[in-house]
Amino acid sequence: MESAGTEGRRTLSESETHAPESGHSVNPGASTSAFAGETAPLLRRFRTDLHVHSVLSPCAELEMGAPEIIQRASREEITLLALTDHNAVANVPALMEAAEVERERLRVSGTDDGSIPRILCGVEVQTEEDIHLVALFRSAEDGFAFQEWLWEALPSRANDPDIFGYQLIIDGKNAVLDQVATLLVQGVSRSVEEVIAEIRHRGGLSFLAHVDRPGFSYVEVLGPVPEDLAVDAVELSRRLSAEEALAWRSRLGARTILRSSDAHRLEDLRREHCMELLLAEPTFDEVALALRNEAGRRVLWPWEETPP
Amino acid sequence: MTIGEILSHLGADVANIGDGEREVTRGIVGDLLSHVMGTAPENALWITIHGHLNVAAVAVLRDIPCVILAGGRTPSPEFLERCCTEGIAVGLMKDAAFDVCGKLWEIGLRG
Repeated sequence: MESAGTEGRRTLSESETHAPESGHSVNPGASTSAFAGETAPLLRRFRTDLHVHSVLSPCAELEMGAPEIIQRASREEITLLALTDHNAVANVPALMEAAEVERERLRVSGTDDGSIPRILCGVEVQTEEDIHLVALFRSAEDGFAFQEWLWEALPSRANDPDIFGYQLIIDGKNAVLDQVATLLVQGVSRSVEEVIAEIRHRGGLSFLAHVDRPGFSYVEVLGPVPEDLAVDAVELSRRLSAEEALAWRSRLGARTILRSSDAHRLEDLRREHCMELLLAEPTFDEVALALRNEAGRRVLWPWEETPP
Repeated sequence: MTIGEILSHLGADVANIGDGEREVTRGIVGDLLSHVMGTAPENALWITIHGHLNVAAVAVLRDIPCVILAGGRTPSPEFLERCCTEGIAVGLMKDAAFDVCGKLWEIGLRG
């Protein structure tokens, strides 16, 4: 359990000391197996935000540029971040590039302390029923292939930037490469079940977004989440108190519960709006294990109050 | 009015007649299931554009004997199957939900 400390990551080494005892496994039955074997990898806490918007989302502020998101996340000690614009992955390369540039800058100056977040490719899909569902993919290529599938089902209504805001595709330095002409904040003509199946078929992960909110929530639109719905997790919004979150937890049964910022502006991108994951490294495959509560990887209960 | 008379008045395509002799006096319109679950009056039919299986579940829960699927929307097979099993009448309408409500208001149904 020493590696985090020897790498000089202050936050991580602090967290790691407490990892096996504190926090909460959503499914405690399978939580510690990785600690048993001799070759088990060392697990550390990674502050993770799996739901963030950029200037590609018309409802996001124009301050949500690539370097700005990276710098803000770094300041908030968020070490793993998924970019999840509405119905689109097109700014994922920009964010990856901005992270790489910043990491290189720190490396050159000898101050790379691992604080620049790793970026995951994601998208917040709006289904036919106006339900928001976040998909995560192993690579940007997988994400773009999914976006192609999604856009075939996106109604052709044009975006009016005066009403909805701009939909900008940028590079890592915020240069505007293009604008998406079709309005992205519409339901695609695919049911929530179809979208979930497609994400899984493509090797991605999915979670229902902000089910506690009055808008675009599975629970609001379709009622209680059925046990056989093939999502990997359910997100509760950062607006819930610890007590409310516990009440939702008991409603949702054995599901893995996430909390992420759903940031549309920089000031919403905060450490206390997201969560910690227990992982060997900040990668898609490790997140997949954590969401399934496998091999010791898990999502720590995001609210201060630990469930009984 | 009975469900059979109402569906006939609307000129709906009847996908399932259910308990066609049952009288209904009120109506509710909406696509958010939690809203309908919380506010549906007694003895009401339900106008929605939402043909998901869970619509049938909410109808059963609130004792709603008739669902009118407006806006030319296609019901999912699971929804129709469940409505047949539960004896819920299903009328399919090309008219928008607004127009369906207007036609029902004309014959005396209220919210």
